[in-house]
Amino acid sequence: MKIKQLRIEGFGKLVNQTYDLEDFTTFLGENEAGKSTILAFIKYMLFGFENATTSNQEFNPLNFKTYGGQILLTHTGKTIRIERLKILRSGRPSFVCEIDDGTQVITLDESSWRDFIRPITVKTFSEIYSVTQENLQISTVRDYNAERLDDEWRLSATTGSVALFDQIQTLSKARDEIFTTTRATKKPLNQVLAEIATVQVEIQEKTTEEQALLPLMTENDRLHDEIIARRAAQENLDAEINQIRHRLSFLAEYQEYAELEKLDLTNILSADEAENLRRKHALHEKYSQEISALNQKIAENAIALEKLATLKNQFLQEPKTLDLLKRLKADYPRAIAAEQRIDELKFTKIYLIVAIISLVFMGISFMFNLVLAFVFLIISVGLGIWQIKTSRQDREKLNENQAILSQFDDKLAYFKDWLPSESQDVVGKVADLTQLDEEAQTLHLTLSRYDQVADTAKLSGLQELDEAIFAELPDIDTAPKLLEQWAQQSRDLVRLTRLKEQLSGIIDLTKPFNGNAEQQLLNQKTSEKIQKADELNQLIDRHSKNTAEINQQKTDNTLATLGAKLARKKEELRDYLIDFATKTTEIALTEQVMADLSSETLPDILNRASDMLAQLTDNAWQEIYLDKEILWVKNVQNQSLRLIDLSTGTRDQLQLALRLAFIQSKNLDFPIFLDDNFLRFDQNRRRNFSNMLAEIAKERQVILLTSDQTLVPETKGTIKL
Amino acid sequence: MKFIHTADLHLDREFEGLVQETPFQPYHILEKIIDLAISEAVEVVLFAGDNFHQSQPSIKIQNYFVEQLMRLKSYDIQAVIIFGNHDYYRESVYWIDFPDNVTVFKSETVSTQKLALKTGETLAVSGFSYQHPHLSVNKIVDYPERDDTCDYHIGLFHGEFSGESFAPANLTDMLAKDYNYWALGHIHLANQVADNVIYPGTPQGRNKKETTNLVVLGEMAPTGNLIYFRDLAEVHFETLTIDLSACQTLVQALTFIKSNLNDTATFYSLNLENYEAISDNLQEAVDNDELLEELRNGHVIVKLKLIPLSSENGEISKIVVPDLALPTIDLEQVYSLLPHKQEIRSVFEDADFQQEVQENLTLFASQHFEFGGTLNEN
Repeated sequence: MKIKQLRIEGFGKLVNQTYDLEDFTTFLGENEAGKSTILAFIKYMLFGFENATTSNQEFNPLNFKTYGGQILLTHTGKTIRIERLKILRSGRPSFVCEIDDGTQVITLDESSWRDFIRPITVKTFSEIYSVTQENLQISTVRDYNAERLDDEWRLSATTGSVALFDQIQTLSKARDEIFTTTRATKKPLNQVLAEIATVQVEIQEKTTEEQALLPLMTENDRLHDEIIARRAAQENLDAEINQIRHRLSFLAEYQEYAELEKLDLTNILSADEAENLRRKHALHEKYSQEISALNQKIAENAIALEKLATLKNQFLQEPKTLDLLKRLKADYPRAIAAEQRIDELKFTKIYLIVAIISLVFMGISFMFNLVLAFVFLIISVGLGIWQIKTSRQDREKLNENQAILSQFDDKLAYFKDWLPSESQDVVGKVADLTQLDEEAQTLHLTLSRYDQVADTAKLSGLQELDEAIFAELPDIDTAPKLLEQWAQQSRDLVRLTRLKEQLSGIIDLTKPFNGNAEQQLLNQKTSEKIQKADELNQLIDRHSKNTAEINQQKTDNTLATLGAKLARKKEELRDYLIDFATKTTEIALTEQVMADLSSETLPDILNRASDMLAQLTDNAWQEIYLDKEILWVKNVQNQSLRLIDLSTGTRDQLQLALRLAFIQSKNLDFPIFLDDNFLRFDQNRRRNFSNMLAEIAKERQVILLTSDQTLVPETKGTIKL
Repeated sequence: MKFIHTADLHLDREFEGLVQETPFQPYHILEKIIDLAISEAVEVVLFAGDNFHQSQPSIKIQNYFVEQLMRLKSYDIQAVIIFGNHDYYRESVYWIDFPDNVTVFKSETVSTQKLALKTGETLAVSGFSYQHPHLSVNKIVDYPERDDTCDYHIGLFHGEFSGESFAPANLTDMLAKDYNYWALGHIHLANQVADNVIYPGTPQGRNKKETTNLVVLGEMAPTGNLIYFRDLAEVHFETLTIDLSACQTLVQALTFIKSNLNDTATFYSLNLENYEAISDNLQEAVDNDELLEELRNGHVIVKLKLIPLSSENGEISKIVVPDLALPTIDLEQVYSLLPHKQEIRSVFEDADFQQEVQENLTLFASQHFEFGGTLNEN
């Protein structure tokens, strides 16, 4: 493939330029004349514009809106035209590729064109077919050492570039980031391993801790059973204690019962006997009371009677007195009437008085009326006469009545010592007598009241009955006591029966019940209970503690968390190992490729390179050869030097020779581009170089970009920029 | 008769492949299963082995297991348990007393237990437990013929149909027993081997391969079984491939990726593709883990992978290595560089690990080399 023409519409500083290229074309220009722009334009035309990255500057034309151009190629008799144009800031560039084989024109799209030009790619174009000071320089690492340099040279010789070597360096570096040796503890692989070990230790510890729990669990099961058994025992003890307490609470009753049991409760009386006794005793009591009451009454009456035995009462009591009084009573009215008539007779002189009064009136009336005086005189005379006549009659009657009165007074004389008053008149005397009579009657009544006979009779009757009771029951007087005893005994019997009934369910009555012993038993059991409760609580405490410990483990997520962590760490480890293994195998593969290429293609390349180096150095250096993986260069004195010992210029020439040898040996139909790569060559060797290019240009298009005028061959094909 | 059949709970097994802490506890799946048993009022819950992951489960996890089984008791639900190769039975390890609603097979000899169900029906269950981590004999031959005195007969079996270490069985033997149902365990992905021979798989997947997350909710009748699968898992692993062709910037890409992560209870493995527009920035953000850290802030991301761009190949010059084929990787050599630790050894012995390294190397090789000159770049 050869480049025939470049038509630049706008690319960097080049605008509207057309260049026709020969088999050996030299672009001659000073710095910044556009040599690199030409190379970039060719690359762009062939492979498209790369995405703008730091390594690729854009070659936008400065003052022109159209960007790009055309390139004309020839290849195995075909003419190829490629056009890439882009209006600035308006999307993707256009692409046209026409292949004219003389009979027809075929249009290719971008990817078909790339297939067509394969195996040349933008990378091979830049790294191999463009020979520049930069990509010839083996200067990726500043500090050269012999092995490294050897490796690079050899690689450069076998692959045309140090790319593989760089790749190995990059891969090794990345791999070493992961792991180098176990001593490099900061490396992630070692760190993950350490972390895994830590987690594993933690898991182991936790597991051991868990294992230790197993005996604890067995113990807890046993404790659980024991606690249950002990609880039951405790309940029994409680029941026992309560029973004792219950029994003891009946101690008073039992003591009463025991006392009652001791008493002789054989009956002293039958119920009938008791009833009889009680009734008789009641009668006896009654009789006694009545007798004493009667005795007292009789005694009192006797006293009263003694007091009534006065002279007057004796007089009044005499039957003669009573008889006289009875008879006198019949004489009262006649005596009273007689005395009345006596009085009446003594006082009948009324007519005489009226006759005097009439004589007075006759004297008064005589002074002024004589008639009237006369009348009065007659009346007084008549009355005087009537007076004298009546007085005689009364004297007789008076005597008669006086006799009656004196008769009465005689009779009365019997009583004269006992009359209360010394009345002279009859009425008074009757009144005294009446009074005396009343006294007599009262006395009679009183005396009859104090009559002792009935009482005495009654008394003797009663005494007789009482005697009968005594005869039957001589000790009737002790009956109340006996009855009291009998009642007590009856009550005791009832109480005893009741107590027996009450106690029989609680206390064994066939044996004596010892309150003290019982109390002692209670105390003993109680203290036993306290002690057992204490022991039980200790067991429960231990059980709870164990349970808590076990439960904590049961819900403890630590192990699970650690497990998850371990899984994650192992995964991290796996990631690192994949990375490490991948890189290691990639390095191994690359090295294998290098070794293979060395053995297969290196001899041919080294031969070609040896020739070229000899030509460039005027045979000062004659042979490049490989010995034990080390590149050596032999000089005209037959001395072999390692590459590190060569001068800089010679090293550049060796590198150029290797590159050109590589390109030649690949035998691909593609031009070589050389961009001022010979700056450290001396004049002689530059000339040799130029001649060598002319030689090469016979088979392959050579395009040289330089500022060195001396290198320009005397041929056409020089383009001044 | 309604029943639940589950297996391979691996209660004390953690989620795998995570480097993030998550609030999720994988063992919570048991609560979900018990909840289902109660809400569906099943008669019996069958646990077909590997209830625990470790042969010495922690006290907490054993306690949790029993606590959950106890919940069934008040609903008159019975449980039947066998032990598998992971939690193989040893008296000394299991200190727990199972409640009386739980029938436990502890012997390695096949036996049959008869259960009186709350429906009044009778159920015969035949099974055995591992007492060792491996069991190389065919146990199915020891299972008795169907017990016709019971209404139903179920076979409980932990093992596989191939291999030699886990009671190798064959389906013909099983079907010949004429049981109503075979409740299997051991295989972590659900598999209905036959109509009534089922691996439910693990009900809670622990890594991105365990994707089925199912339990069997069945209804057994003399005429046949109705089988339903239920997904009770709290957490699911999901692998998402996200096309970033619409994203012009890294920020857009981040937003777009996040918009695809719609469930915080999903553990995502992400494959990003078609990111041409932001290739360099994205590659950088992936390489220095910035993108991953950003996404893990709020979501659980298991893995993040960039699927190589198809057109990228064209941009890279490949070194032609005509006489070389892609070699098989030599992990022993890699291992020899590393500290000889058990953790590392076991990673290196993991087939997934080996495969992943191989894939990485293959990708690397395809990006840089052309072996034998015949490898197609596309």
